[in-house]
Amino acid sequence: MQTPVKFKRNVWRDVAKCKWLYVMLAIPLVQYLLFRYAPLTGIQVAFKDYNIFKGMWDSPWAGFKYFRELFSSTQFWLALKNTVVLNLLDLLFGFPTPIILAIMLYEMRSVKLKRVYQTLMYLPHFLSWVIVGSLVVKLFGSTGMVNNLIKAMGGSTVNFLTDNTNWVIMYVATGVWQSAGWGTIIYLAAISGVNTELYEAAEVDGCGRIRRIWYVTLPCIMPTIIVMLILRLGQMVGIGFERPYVMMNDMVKNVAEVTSTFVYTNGIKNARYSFSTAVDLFGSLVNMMFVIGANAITKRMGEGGLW
Amino acid sequence: MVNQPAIKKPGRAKGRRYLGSEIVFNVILTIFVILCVVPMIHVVAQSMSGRNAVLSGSVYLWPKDLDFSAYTSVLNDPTMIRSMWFSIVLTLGYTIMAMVATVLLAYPLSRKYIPGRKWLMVLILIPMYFTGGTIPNYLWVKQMGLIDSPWSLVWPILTSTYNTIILRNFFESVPDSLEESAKLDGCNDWQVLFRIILPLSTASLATIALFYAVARWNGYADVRYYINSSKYYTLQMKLYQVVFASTSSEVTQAEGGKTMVLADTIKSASIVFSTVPILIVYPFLQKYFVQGVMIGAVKE
Repeated sequence: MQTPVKFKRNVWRDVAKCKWLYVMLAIPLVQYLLFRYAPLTGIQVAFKDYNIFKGMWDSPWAGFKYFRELFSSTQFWLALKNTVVLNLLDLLFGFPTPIILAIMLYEMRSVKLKRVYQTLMYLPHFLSWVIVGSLVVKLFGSTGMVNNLIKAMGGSTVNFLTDNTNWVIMYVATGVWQSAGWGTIIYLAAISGVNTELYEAAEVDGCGRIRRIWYVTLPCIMPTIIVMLILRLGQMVGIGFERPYVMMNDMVKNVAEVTSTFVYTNGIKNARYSFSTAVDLFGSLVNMMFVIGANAITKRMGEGGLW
Repeated sequence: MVNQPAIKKPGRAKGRRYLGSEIVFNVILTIFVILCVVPMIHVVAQSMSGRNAVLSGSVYLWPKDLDFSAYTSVLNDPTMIRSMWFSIVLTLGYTIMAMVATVLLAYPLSRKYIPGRKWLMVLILIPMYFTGGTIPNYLWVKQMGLIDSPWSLVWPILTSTYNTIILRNFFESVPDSLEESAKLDGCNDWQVLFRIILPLSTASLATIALFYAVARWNGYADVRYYINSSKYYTLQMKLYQVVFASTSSEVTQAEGGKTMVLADTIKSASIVFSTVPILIVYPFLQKYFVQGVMIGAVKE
């Protein structure tokens, strides 16, 4: 009988001791509740006929009406397909690039030059997507620098931004351009953590530089690569809003309309709240499945996984 | 400029070993680095060139017919200046508020003895993986009456869970004995936080503050979602209008139907104008950001 009572009293004493800590927590936690948890109640809008005047609680239930509408909407499937295709291409080209760059940077002999290169490579990361998008137009627009150069050399204008295939290439290339340099940081950190004795051993065994990279460096940074890969795979269905929105134009809507811009156009611009909430919800559910799936795979591969 | 010391690498003795791969690596890296800076150089060159030289398409990486009138027009555009000021005030205000909130969240979470610590952690981690989505957030901001208010650009993103965890990890690394002796001397938690923990964490605080400031300065989506009145256009929003004005129809609507086709030089000058603040703080950014990424990586 006595033990639980004693236990309880101790807990309250501990809590009382920490009273100021709880007071500190109060401010940020109110923000969490108000702006992170409370908006979750808005998910119900996906299952309701949302009426602005009635508000989300008093609007009538609609069941899965908007999900049925969603699944029969060719526009939605197109946006989803574009999202996945762009993400896959991003993964294919954007994922290995920082690893390769990091290995090359690490192997560079001149430390001074390496510092300069790093400083310049990180720069694009700090430019907003609006600025990056503006630069793309300036360089690759019909009267942009690259086209001027092509014309000066006697060629004819290339529609870099208004042709479907070219636009996709530009989108992927811009992503690599913006993030590859910055992405090297994490791999550089991993590479400098490699035990240098392994290099010596490889050397003694007669490995050249390329073989040393292949047989020592790469396997040693594999756990980092795997973790980064899982994080990436988890985002296959989700896509940021700013990059596609800034780069998109009417001519390439067929390949450039992705879920985030689709939600924006339908939800915020055209006020189809229920429909776009359904799009959002479907997207985040699929996304969660991707994260869980990717994690399970890496665990099976014996790499530990994220949790 | 990763703060990694120049490690002496084995297999890298003087001489001409691996000359072939050295050349290949350097060429590839050099090309990449050139690609990273060429766009900016081109825009700077164009912004300082004469209109006709730009129109004829002969300006590449060096200004032609040096002419600064584009900058005069940008600086004489009251909406541009207003957006610049609004962005500066918003970024500073947001960063201060976000820092206060993050410290107040990270410090209690870093105390291992606080009852309910585990639950509190779960409470702040859930929104990192599961969010309502764009529309539920939008509807909520609307319901709170924050549409077209600068607060819509502050409240919803006041604390970042990621930054909170970085800061919490740092606070945890401060030796417990310091806190204990301060408590013996009669300090309460506030005094411990302000007199001991914070003065010891200035580097991490700077890192986190820069994370917040850059995110707010570069942020565009929430301005697009929540702000309709040009009074609260941030610099990014303004720049979007300037650069994409001639291509996007919605901009002409927003500007009250009057189409404005701006000269390329003015567009370029606007891009430079909105990039300069980032470039000014870039040296600090880079150092602290790299540190931040490292601390974040240790967490994994």
